[in-house]
Amino acid sequence: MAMFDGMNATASALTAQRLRMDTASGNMANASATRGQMVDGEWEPYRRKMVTMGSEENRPSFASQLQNAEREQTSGVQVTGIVEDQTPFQTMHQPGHPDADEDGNVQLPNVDPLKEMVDVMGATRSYEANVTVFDAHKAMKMNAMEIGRS
Amino acid sequence: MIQGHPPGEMALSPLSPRASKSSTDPGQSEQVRTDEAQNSFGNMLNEALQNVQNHQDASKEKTEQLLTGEVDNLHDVFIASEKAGVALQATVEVRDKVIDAYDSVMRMTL
Repeated sequence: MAMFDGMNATASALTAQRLRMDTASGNMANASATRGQMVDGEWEPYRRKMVTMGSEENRPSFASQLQNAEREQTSGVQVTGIVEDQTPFQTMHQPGHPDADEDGNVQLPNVDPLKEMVDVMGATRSYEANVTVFDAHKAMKMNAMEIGRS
Repeated sequence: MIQGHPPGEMALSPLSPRASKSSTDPGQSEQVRTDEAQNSFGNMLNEALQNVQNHQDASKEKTEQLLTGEVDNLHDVFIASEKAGVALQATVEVRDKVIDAYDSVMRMTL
Protein backbone atom coordinates (compact mmCIF):
# COMPACT_ATOMS: atom_id res chain seq x y z
CA MET A 1 0.00 0.00 0.00
CA ALA A 2 1.54 3.24 -1.08
CA MET A 3 2.02 6.12 1.27
CA PHE A 4 -0.70 8.34 -0.14
CA ASP A 5 -3.32 5.75 -1.17
CA GLY A 6 -5.65 6.72 1.64
CA MET A 7 -5.39 10.37 0.76
CA ASN A 8 -6.11 9.55 -2.89
CA ALA A 9 -9.22 7.60 -1.91
CA THR A 10 -10.40 10.59 0.11
CA ALA A 11 -9.71 12.89 -2.81
CA SER A 12 -11.83 10.74 -5.10
CA ALA A 13 -14.68 10.87 -2.58
CA LEU A 14 -14.45 14.66 -2.41
CA THR A 15 -14.61 14.88 -6.19
CA ALA A 16 -17.62 12.54 -6.30
CA GLN A 17 -19.49 14.47 -3.60
CA ARG A 18 -18.84 17.71 -5.41
CA LEU A 19 -20.36 16.30 -8.56
CA ARG A 20 -23.36 15.12 -6.55
CA MET A 21 -23.72 18.66 -5.21
CA ASP A 22 -23.48 20.08 -8.73
CA THR A 23 -26.16 17.68 -9.94
CA ALA A 24 -28.49 18.65 -7.10
CA SER A 25 -27.88 22.33 -7.89
CA GLY A 26 -28.75 21.71 -11.53
CA ASN A 27 -31.95 19.91 -10.53
CA MET A 28 -32.96 22.67 -8.15
CA ALA A 29 -32.24 25.36 -10.72
CA ASN A 30 -34.33 23.55 -13.32
CA ALA A 31 -37.17 22.75 -10.92
CA SER A 32 -39.66 24.62 -13.10
CA ALA A 33 -38.02 24.36 -16.53
CA THR A 34 -40.74 23.25 -18.89
CA ARG A 35 -38.36 23.13 -21.82
CA GLY A 36 -35.66 20.66 -20.87
CA GLN A 37 -35.14 18.86 -24.14
CA MET A 38 -36.71 18.62 -27.55
CA VAL A 39 -38.32 15.22 -28.22
CA ASP A 40 -39.92 14.66 -31.67
CA GLY A 41 -40.28 18.36 -32.24
CA GLU A 42 -41.99 18.98 -28.92
CA TRP A 43 -40.56 20.36 -25.73
CA GLU A 44 -40.34 17.99 -22.79
CA PRO A 45 -39.78 19.24 -19.24
CA TYR A 46 -36.43 18.84 -17.53
CA ARG A 47 -35.81 15.38 -16.08
CA ARG A 48 -34.26 15.06 -12.67
CA LYS A 49 -30.67 13.77 -12.82
CA MET A 50 -29.07 11.44 -10.32
CA VAL A 51 -25.45 10.48 -9.73
CA THR A 52 -24.53 6.81 -9.43
CA MET A 53 -21.29 5.87 -7.74
CA GLY A 54 -19.15 2.78 -7.77
CA SER A 55 -15.91 1.60 -6.26
CA GLU A 56 -12.81 2.33 -8.30
CA GLU A 57 -11.80 -1.26 -7.65
CA ASN A 58 -14.32 -2.52 -10.16
CA ARG A 59 -13.20 -0.41 -13.05
CA PRO A 60 -13.33 -2.63 -16.11
CA SER A 61 -10.01 -1.43 -17.52
CA PHE A 62 -7.23 -3.97 -17.86
CA ALA A 63 -4.71 -1.70 -16.17
CA SER A 64 -6.79 -1.29 -13.02
CA GLN A 65 -7.55 -5.01 -12.77
CA LEU A 66 -3.85 -5.77 -13.08
CA GLN A 67 -3.04 -3.21 -10.44
CA ASN A 68 -5.58 -4.80 -8.10
CA ALA A 69 -4.12 -8.22 -8.69
CA GLU A 70 -0.58 -7.02 -8.13
CA ARG A 71 -0.97 -5.33 -4.81
CA GLU A 72 -3.36 -4.63 -2.07
CA GLN A 73 -4.82 -1.26 -2.67
CA THR A 74 -7.38 0.90 -1.04
CA SER A 75 -9.73 1.97 -3.74
CA GLY A 76 -11.51 5.25 -4.00
CA VAL A 77 -14.94 5.94 -5.34
CA GLN A 78 -15.86 7.08 -8.78
CA VAL A 79 -18.97 8.38 -10.40
CA THR A 80 -20.17 5.66 -12.74
CA GLY A 81 -22.76 7.80 -14.43
CA ILE A 82 -25.40 10.46 -14.30
CA VAL A 83 -28.80 8.90 -14.94
CA GLU A 84 -32.18 10.47 -15.47
CA ASP A 85 -34.97 9.87 -13.00
CA GLN A 86 -37.77 8.11 -14.92
CA THR A 87 -40.60 8.99 -12.53
CA PRO A 88 -43.50 10.73 -14.33
CA PHE A 89 -43.64 14.49 -14.71
CA GLN A 90 -45.89 16.61 -12.57
CA THR A 91 -48.81 18.31 -14.27
CA MET A 92 -50.38 21.60 -13.42
CA HIS A 93 -53.45 23.30 -14.87
CA GLN A 94 -52.23 26.58 -16.33
CA PRO A 95 -54.09 27.40 -19.59
CA GLY A 96 -52.18 30.61 -20.28
CA HIS A 97 -48.80 28.88 -20.34
CA PRO A 98 -47.17 28.65 -23.80
CA ASP A 99 -46.31 24.98 -23.19
CA ALA A 100 -49.82 23.96 -22.09
CA ASP A 101 -51.63 21.21 -24.02
CA GLU A 102 -55.19 21.43 -25.40
CA ASP A 103 -56.70 20.89 -21.95
CA GLY A 104 -54.58 23.65 -20.45
CA ASN A 105 -52.30 21.28 -18.52
CA VAL A 106 -48.59 22.01 -18.31
CA GLN A 107 -46.06 19.27 -17.62
CA LEU A 108 -43.49 20.26 -15.02
CA PRO A 109 -40.19 18.57 -14.18
CA ASN A 110 -40.12 15.57 -11.82
CA VAL A 111 -37.94 17.51 -9.42
CA ASP A 112 -38.92 17.58 -5.77
CA PRO A 113 -37.14 20.46 -4.03
CA LEU A 114 -37.34 18.59 -0.71
CA LYS A 115 -35.47 15.62 -2.14
CA GLU A 116 -32.90 17.93 -3.63
CA MET A 117 -32.32 19.65 -0.30
CA VAL A 118 -31.80 16.27 1.35
CA ASP A 119 -29.30 15.41 -1.37
CA VAL A 120 -27.50 18.73 -0.87
CA MET A 121 -27.28 18.10 2.88
CA GLY A 122 -26.06 14.57 2.30
CA ALA A 123 -23.36 15.73 -0.08
CA THR A 124 -22.24 18.49 2.29
CA ARG A 125 -22.02 16.17 5.29
CA SER A 126 -20.26 13.50 3.30
CA TYR A 127 -17.74 16.07 2.06
CA GLU A 128 -17.13 17.20 5.63
CA ALA A 129 -16.67 13.63 6.79
CA ASN A 130 -14.11 12.97 4.09
CA VAL A 131 -12.20 16.15 4.92
CA THR A 132 -12.07 14.93 8.53
CA VAL A 133 -10.70 11.60 7.33
CA PHE A 134 -8.05 13.42 5.32
CA ASP A 135 -7.00 15.45 8.35
CA ALA A 136 -6.80 12.27 10.40
CA HIS A 137 -4.53 10.80 7.72
CA LYS A 138 -2.25 13.78 7.90
CA ALA A 139 -2.22 13.76 11.70
CA MET A 140 -1.29 10.07 11.66
CA LYS A 141 1.64 10.66 9.32
CA MET A 142 2.81 13.59 11.40
CA ASN A 143 2.57 11.41 14.52
CA ALA A 144 4.70 8.76 12.84
CA MET A 145 7.43 11.37 12.42
CA GLU A 146 7.34 12.04 16.14
CA ILE A 147 8.54 8.50 16.85
CA GLY A 148 11.86 8.54 18.60
CA ARG A 149 11.91 12.22 19.36
CA SER A 150 12.53 13.29 22.94
CA MET B 1 -9.92 11.74 -10.98
CA ILE B 2 -6.83 13.12 -9.39
CA GLN B 3 -4.05 14.23 -11.59
CA GLY B 4 -0.50 15.29 -11.15
CA HIS B 5 1.01 12.70 -8.88
CA PRO B 6 3.32 9.98 -10.14
CA PRO B 7 2.31 6.31 -10.12
CA GLY B 8 5.16 5.01 -7.94
CA GLU B 9 4.51 6.76 -4.71
CA MET B 10 5.99 4.95 -1.75
CA ALA B 11 9.37 6.57 -1.90
CA LEU B 12 11.18 4.30 0.50
CA SER B 13 9.61 1.03 -0.63
CA PRO B 14 12.79 -0.24 -2.37
CA LEU B 15 14.24 -0.59 1.11
CA SER B 16 12.02 -3.44 2.25
CA PRO B 17 12.78 -6.08 -0.41
CA ARG B 18 16.48 -5.37 -0.13
CA ALA B 19 16.44 -5.65 3.63
CA SER B 20 14.57 -8.94 3.54
CA LYS B 21 16.90 -10.34 0.89
CA SER B 22 20.04 -9.62 2.90
CA SER B 23 18.53 -11.15 6.01
CA THR B 24 17.65 -14.42 4.25
CA ASP B 25 21.07 -15.15 2.75
CA PRO B 26 23.86 -13.42 4.66
CA GLY B 27 26.59 -14.99 2.52
CA GLN B 28 25.36 -13.13 -0.54
CA SER B 29 25.36 -9.72 1.07
CA GLU B 30 29.01 -9.98 2.15
CA GLN B 31 30.03 -10.22 -1.46
CA VAL B 32 28.47 -6.87 -2.33
CA ARG B 33 31.30 -4.49 -3.02
CA THR B 34 31.49 -1.18 -1.25
CA ASP B 35 31.13 0.93 -4.35
CA GLU B 36 28.09 -1.09 -5.40
CA ALA B 37 26.51 -0.61 -2.02
CA GLN B 38 27.23 3.10 -2.13
CA ASN B 39 25.85 3.28 -5.62
CA SER B 40 22.60 1.54 -4.72
CA PHE B 41 22.18 3.63 -1.59
CA GLY B 42 22.79 6.76 -3.64
CA ASN B 43 20.24 5.65 -6.19
CA MET B 44 17.67 4.97 -3.52
CA LEU B 45 18.22 8.36 -1.95
CA ASN B 46 18.00 9.97 -5.34
CA GLU B 47 14.74 8.23 -6.12
CA ALA B 48 13.28 9.25 -2.79
CA LEU B 49 14.28 12.86 -3.28
CA GLN B 50 12.96 12.82 -6.83
CA ASN B 51 9.65 11.58 -5.47
CA VAL B 52 9.46 14.48 -3.02
CA GLN B 53 10.34 16.81 -5.88
CA ASN B 54 7.51 15.33 -7.96
CA HIS B 55 5.04 16.06 -5.18
CA GLN B 56 6.32 19.61 -4.93
CA ASP B 57 6.00 20.06 -8.69
CA ALA B 58 2.46 18.67 -8.67
CA SER B 59 1.51 21.05 -5.88
CA LYS B 60 3.06 24.01 -7.71
CA GLU B 61 1.25 23.10 -10.89
CA LYS B 62 -2.09 22.87 -9.06
CA THR B 63 -1.50 26.22 -7.37
CA GLU B 64 -0.71 27.83 -10.72
CA GLN B 65 -3.88 26.33 -12.16
CA LEU B 66 -5.83 27.76 -9.23
CA LEU B 67 -4.36 31.22 -9.82
CA THR B 68 -5.12 31.11 -13.53
CA GLY B 69 -8.62 29.76 -12.89
CA GLU B 70 -8.11 26.44 -14.68
CA VAL B 71 -8.78 24.22 -11.70
CA ASP B 72 -12.13 22.41 -11.34
CA ASN B 73 -11.63 20.92 -7.91
CA LEU B 74 -10.43 23.19 -5.15
CA HIS B 75 -9.73 20.26 -2.84
CA ASP B 76 -7.23 18.81 -5.33
CA VAL B 77 -5.08 21.92 -4.88
CA PHE B 78 -5.03 21.59 -1.12
CA ILE B 79 -4.55 17.84 -1.19
CA ALA B 80 -1.56 18.20 -3.52
CA SER B 81 -0.10 20.84 -1.25
CA GLU B 82 -0.64 18.69 1.86
CA LYS B 83 0.98 15.70 0.17
CA ALA B 84 3.97 17.81 -0.78
CA GLY B 85 4.14 19.12 2.79
CA VAL B 86 4.05 15.65 4.34
CA ALA B 87 6.67 14.33 1.91
CA LEU B 88 8.97 17.28 2.58
CA GLN B 89 8.52 16.96 6.33
CA ALA B 90 9.44 13.27 6.12
CA THR B 91 12.56 14.18 4.14
CA VAL B 92 13.56 16.77 6.72
CA GLU B 93 13.08 14.23 9.52
CA VAL B 94 15.27 11.69 7.74
CA ARG B 95 17.93 14.33 7.11
CA ASP B 96 17.91 15.31 10.79
CA LYS B 97 18.40 11.66 11.77
CA VAL B 98 21.33 11.31 9.36
CA ILE B 99 22.97 14.51 10.61
CA ASP B 100 22.45 13.31 14.20
CA ALA B 101 24.18 10.04 13.41
CA TYR B 102 27.04 11.89 11.69
CA ASP B 103 27.44 14.19 14.70
CA SER B 104 27.55 11.19 17.03
CA VAL B 105 30.31 9.64 14.95
CA MET B 106 32.29 12.89 14.86
CA ARG B 107 32.02 13.27 18.63
CA MET B 108 33.49 9.81 19.13
CA THR B 109 36.61 9.99 21.30
CA LEU B 110 39.65 8.24 19.93
